[in-house]
Amino acid sequence: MLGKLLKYDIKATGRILLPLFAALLGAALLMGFTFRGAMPSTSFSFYMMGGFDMARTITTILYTVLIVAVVILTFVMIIYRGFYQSLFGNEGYLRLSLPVSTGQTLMSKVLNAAIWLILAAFVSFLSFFLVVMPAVGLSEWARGFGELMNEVSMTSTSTGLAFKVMLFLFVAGLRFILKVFASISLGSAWTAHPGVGALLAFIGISIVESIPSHFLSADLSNFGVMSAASAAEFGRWLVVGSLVSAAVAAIFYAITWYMIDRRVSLQ
Amino acid sequence: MAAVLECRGLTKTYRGKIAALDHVDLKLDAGKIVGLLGPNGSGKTTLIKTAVGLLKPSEGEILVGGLKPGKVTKAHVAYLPDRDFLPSYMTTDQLLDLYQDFYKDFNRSKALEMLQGLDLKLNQKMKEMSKGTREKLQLILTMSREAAVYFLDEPIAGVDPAVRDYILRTIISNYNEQALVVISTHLIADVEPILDEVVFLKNGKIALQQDAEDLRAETGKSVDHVFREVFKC
Repeated sequence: MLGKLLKYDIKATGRILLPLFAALLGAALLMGFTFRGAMPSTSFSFYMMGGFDMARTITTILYTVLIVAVVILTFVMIIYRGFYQSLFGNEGYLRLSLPVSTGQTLMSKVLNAAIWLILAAFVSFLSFFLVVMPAVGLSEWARGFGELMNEVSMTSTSTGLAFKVMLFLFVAGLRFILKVFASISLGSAWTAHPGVGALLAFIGISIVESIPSHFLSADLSNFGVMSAASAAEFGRWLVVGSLVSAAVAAIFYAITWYMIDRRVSLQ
Repeated sequence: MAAVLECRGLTKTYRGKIAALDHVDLKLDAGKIVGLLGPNGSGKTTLIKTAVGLLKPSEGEILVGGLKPGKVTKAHVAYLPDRDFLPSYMTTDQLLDLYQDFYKDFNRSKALEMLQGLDLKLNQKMKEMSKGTREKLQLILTMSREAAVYFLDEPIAGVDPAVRDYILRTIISNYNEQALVVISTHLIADVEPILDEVVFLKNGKIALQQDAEDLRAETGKSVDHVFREVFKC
């Protein structure tokens, strides 16, 4: 049943995010073409007339707007469409009356969030490199991008740091999403004002969350100069940070599960 | 016969003081169409939502087939809420798939047969349908399940008389005869002809529970008439 739930969650979130991702990649390519057009080998007279400058400005703005939209809408769609509307809106009458356990319902939401976070990060990353494709040509670009992906995915030696940074950011993103899930679930207990309840819960959780962070956080100022030793230390800090975030995310999961399973009150 | 639905001292309070259900004791058997009747705010929807697991009781308990509402009971309970509850971006075809994916007792061919009577395309989205058509589609999906219990919350509220007739015809011609059908409404006159038993809810308490035919024989009045007397303002 988890697979079926996930299928519907992915479709619900993807119907907005997939076209947005496609638009971002398209905008990156367009931007790449306008920048290639500005190179000296192209028509000098057209360049002098400012045609490519205008095109470059427009495509750069378009690309910037879209990349900001991808970051914001990925979180909005995961939280609002994927969680709030699906469980606490009118659709909750369907989702919470399906013959599945609360654990399956919630795990589907978490996996859906994880999948879209990874996809959004990958698409954004890919879009940076698509900008240069028109200038270098497809085959050269594909070779370079493949090498880059190999470097990033390696977990040993110095390149392992990139992987650890990505892991840290991914777990931190998931932790934030689960924090909002927990806040919405806690807020739903205040049936008269669930929105205000969710906001207050979020503020309350943030305060509680910040207390141990003061003691656990490493001092990052030491990492200003990235020597081999400090890189290794930074790598260790990232792993510890990821584990702490995962543990905190698990607490948020437990709170959300409890509120949905034991205190559900759909209005 | 063991009751399919049983409430024991069922109480639901909101904000710790307003009792939507106040120590309700109720037993309903299979094979009947029961009218859960009462004015707005009498606790009808709260009782149904508690039975389908969308609300937790504040006190007492509610049992469906002897079990507390949960994953097992949900597999045997068909529920039609009092609002549009299906994703508006989904098409009829996708909704049929969804019901088939999650409910083993969903009879797709029966649903398709019922849909043939409607002027409805399978690739039409919910949000492109009129209110009456959405109500019909939601009812068809609910009644196409061969469930043990059907909870239909205000199925005829807010629709025109022609749609009302369609909905009532669909209910009586498609429910599983071994099942319990609970219809909540305040539009008594429309549903009275199909009811076997009536339960009056007043301020969260059971004001009356009786066989519909016996009630009419005893009082010499229609259920609708008795309802108007009990709930006279």
